[in-house]
Amino acid sequence: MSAREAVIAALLLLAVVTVALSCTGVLVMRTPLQRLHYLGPLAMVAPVLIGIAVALAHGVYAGAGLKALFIALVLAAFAPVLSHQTGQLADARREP
Amino acid sequence: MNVWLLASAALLLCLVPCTVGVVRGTSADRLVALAAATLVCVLALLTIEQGLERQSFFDLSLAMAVLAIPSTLLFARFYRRWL
Amino acid sequence: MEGRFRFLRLWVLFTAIEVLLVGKLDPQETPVGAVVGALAAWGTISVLRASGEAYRLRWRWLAIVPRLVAGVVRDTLRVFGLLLRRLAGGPLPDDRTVEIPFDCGGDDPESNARRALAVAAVSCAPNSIVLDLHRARGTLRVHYLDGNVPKPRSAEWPL
Repeated sequence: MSAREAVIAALLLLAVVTVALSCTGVLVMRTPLQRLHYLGPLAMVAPVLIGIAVALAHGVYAGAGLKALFIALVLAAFAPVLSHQTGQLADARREP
Repeated sequence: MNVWLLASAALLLCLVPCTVGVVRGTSADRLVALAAATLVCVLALLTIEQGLERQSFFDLSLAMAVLAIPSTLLFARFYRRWL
Repeated sequence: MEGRFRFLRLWVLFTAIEVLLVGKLDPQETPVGAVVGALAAWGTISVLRASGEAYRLRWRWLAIVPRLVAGVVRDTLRVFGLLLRRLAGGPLPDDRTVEIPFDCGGDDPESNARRALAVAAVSCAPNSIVLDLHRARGTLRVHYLDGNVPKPRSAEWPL
């Protein structure tokens, strides 16, 4: 295994751990607002790690690397909007 | 079997807690779990494409990424306003 | 004139994104991409006009990006720490909703853009989600998963 492959494997492992912990958080937490906080790492951290891994595998200027980074950018850019709007919904529906 | 397909398998396993979240709790709880499941699917498609070396999956994951968050947003706004 | 220039800028941006994602200039695909880019630019301007508000971004706001990235990493570790504590049999997080001071600015395009970006920036970090913006009180109502609420560094960008 070359150094580049090792870095790709490490990035993927980190991404999978992030996703697993985020999904566990969504399940384990009690209220919708608490669960919503775990969408952040899922939408912002994991896609960036995977995007970097794809870019390392193919190069940034190749179609695949650029697309993966673009997907990461789209998800990271819209995730706060999603959190804000869904947070307003959860807050409006909160039990007193 | 390569490292990408291993990652895909692990990501697909992460859909299990999301699915449990979608079938339990209030509508807001389910919406959050659904958003999580959608994001996991986008990431799984990305890694599956790399593992199988199929370029067409990339366009699918790109379309899903662009559509997933606005669709959840629309549903949240609709639910908050009308239901 | 300003409207046409804005349309042109958006059209060039969207067409460039299409060419970058396709990875080549194709005699069949690129014109289609240009047409769709024009539609997207027209749609963007229509939505902005319908919202009745103008927005103006400033390059100097990019200076908050390092703080934002550091906040995302720090808060990711923080929320995962809370989760692991819960999984190990500890209590649920002591989450709370707090009003923090925020400089809302006026009704000019720059303040409109800064308010929108500040709400997104505060909601970016996993530990905080903005629920509301009170212009009259000059505050943001923020939900924190970790009850130890950090003091924001500035009222303009309360990260």
